[in-house]
Amino acid sequence: MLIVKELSIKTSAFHIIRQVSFKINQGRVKVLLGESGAGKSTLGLFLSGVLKPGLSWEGEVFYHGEKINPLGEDWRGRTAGLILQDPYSSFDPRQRILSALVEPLMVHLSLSRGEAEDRALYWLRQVEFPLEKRWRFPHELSGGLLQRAAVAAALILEPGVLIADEPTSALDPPLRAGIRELIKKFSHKRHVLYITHFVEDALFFGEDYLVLYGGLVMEEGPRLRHPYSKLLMTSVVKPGKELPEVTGFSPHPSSLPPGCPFRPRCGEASDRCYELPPLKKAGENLVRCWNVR
Amino acid sequence: MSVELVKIEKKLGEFRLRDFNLRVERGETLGVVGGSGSGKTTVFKILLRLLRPDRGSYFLDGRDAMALSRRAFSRRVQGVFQNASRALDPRKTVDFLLREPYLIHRDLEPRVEELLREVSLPPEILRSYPPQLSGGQQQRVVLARALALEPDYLVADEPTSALDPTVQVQILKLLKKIQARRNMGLVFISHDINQVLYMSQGLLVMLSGLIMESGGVEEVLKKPSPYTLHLLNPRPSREREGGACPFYGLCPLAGPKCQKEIPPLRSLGEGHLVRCHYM
Ligand SMILES: Nc1ncnc2c1ncn2[C@@H]1O[C@H](COP(=O)(O)OP(=O)(O)OP(=O)(O)O)[C@@H](O)[C@H]1O
Ligand code: SF4
Ligand SMILES: [Mg+2]
Repeated sequence: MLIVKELSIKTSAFHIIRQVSFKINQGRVKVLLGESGAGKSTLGLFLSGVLKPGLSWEGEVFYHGEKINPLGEDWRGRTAGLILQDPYSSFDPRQRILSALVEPLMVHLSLSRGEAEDRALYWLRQVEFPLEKRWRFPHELSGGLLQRAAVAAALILEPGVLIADEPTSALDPPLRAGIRELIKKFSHKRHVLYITHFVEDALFFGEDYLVLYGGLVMEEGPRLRHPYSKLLMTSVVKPGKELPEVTGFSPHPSSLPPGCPFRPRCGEASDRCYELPPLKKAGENLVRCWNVR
Repeated sequence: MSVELVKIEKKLGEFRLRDFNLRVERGETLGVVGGSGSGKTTVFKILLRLLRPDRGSYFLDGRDAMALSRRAFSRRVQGVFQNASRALDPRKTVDFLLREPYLIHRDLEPRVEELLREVSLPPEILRSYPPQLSGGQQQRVVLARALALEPDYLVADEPTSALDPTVQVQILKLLKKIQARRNMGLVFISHDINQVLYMSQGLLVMLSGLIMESGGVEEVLKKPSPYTLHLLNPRPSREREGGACPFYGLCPLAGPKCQKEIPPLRSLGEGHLVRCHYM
């Protein structure tokens, strides 16, 4: 189990993540859902071992019962793998795909070149990467294929934690479906945090959600019940479906409205909402809203 | 009154736009859909005269669009780019950015407040700089700039793909409303077929520089080609190698002919064209 307790991440002036707590069970995919500016990448990068300069953090992280420091050695890459939105930024542009996979095996696991190549080929087959293209450079591959290679690169050291930060946002819909299937396939025995703003992606995994707004957890659990989650769920363009009325936009963390941060955009807001609601049990979920029971 | 591309050819490295035809009337929206690398942005650039075709013609209301002066052309056809943050100079205020088009077109009265209202931005925003705005606000500024010269035709290349789905919904509705109110001809380009169907009366589906299907949205949906069906209902599947038809790799109908010959674009009647050997 991966447990995050009261995690805050801040600049010298404001909080980007505010006292976020959650658990990921082994073999599960936790879907982190939210709009731009919610703090999704900041949280995901931190858990994969990266903190942008100028930011500081407090809180606790436990992995298999042991307190750990995600910024410490042996976490990034070894225990936690990372897949980014833009597959081209996951690779060194001057390195061929196979070399990019072989190198960490030789460096971290001290495998011989032959052993490392065998292992790399095994992973390329696992992600259904066409092996005849293994000598290509990243820019010689389409975004969809390169993202497959990036999944292999993230998993090649067999990390128990996998963070995927909007891995399908740069892809068109047919390619998107392929990548999320792939991540589901590898979620077995791992702890996966899947970050997305696509409701289709969220529903595809559909078992365990964490919804972030203005750096705060708005809800966590197997359902989507918060008024904000409902707005996200209806913001899907489909033939024959009316588009919802969407007002306002996701706030910048330096200028959150007082009380419930979603209040200015919320159709269910009442007078109480000028006060910040606590995160409390509502059915199977934890929900931060005065008007959801 | 229409924008028309006829038999356009354009080679860019290994990529080739082939036998490309497009027509959009004033007052209607044509949706262009295709995956990455299909040639959508090439079509966008040709329509805005940012790229010169190797062959073929470009007509604006029946006259040669290439013969118009830069200035006259920009009064007729305007573009909205995908990446709003790159399209706006970060060191200029919104007020300046919305007045800029009128510096060259001095015969037009600047109507900054009206433009703001049209794209639903508050007047306070005039003093802001682009980096202070959200992605959706930036895209609204880009749209307002494109509308400043009151063009007859607007071409939008993935105007929402860098935005959150909630903001996409806002921008799509806005664009649709403005197109109808101003009676413009709109070419709406996207990789998301659902957005294209929401916006358009006409549809043009591209793959590897070829038109795979075109026609009225209703006609196409009644009898979609295999590639369009794949876009409507994306399923991960394993790709076959080779093939002459660009969809050979994933097509459920593929047969021996598709391996050898590119299928011709043929008519199914009512203006519906498909490129498929076996449909
Ligand atoms: N180093 C920093 N200094 C100041 N502000 C920051 C810093 N890093 C991030 N922010 C701000 O914090 C907010 C959350 O950032 P983050 O990138 O985590 O959001 P996100 O949910 O991943 O959004 P997106 O969907 O745009 O990727 C953003 O508004 C961002 O501008
Ligand atoms: S607390 Fe109030 S404003 Fe916030 S989501 Fe619930 S109803 Fe809406
Ligand atoms: Mg992000």
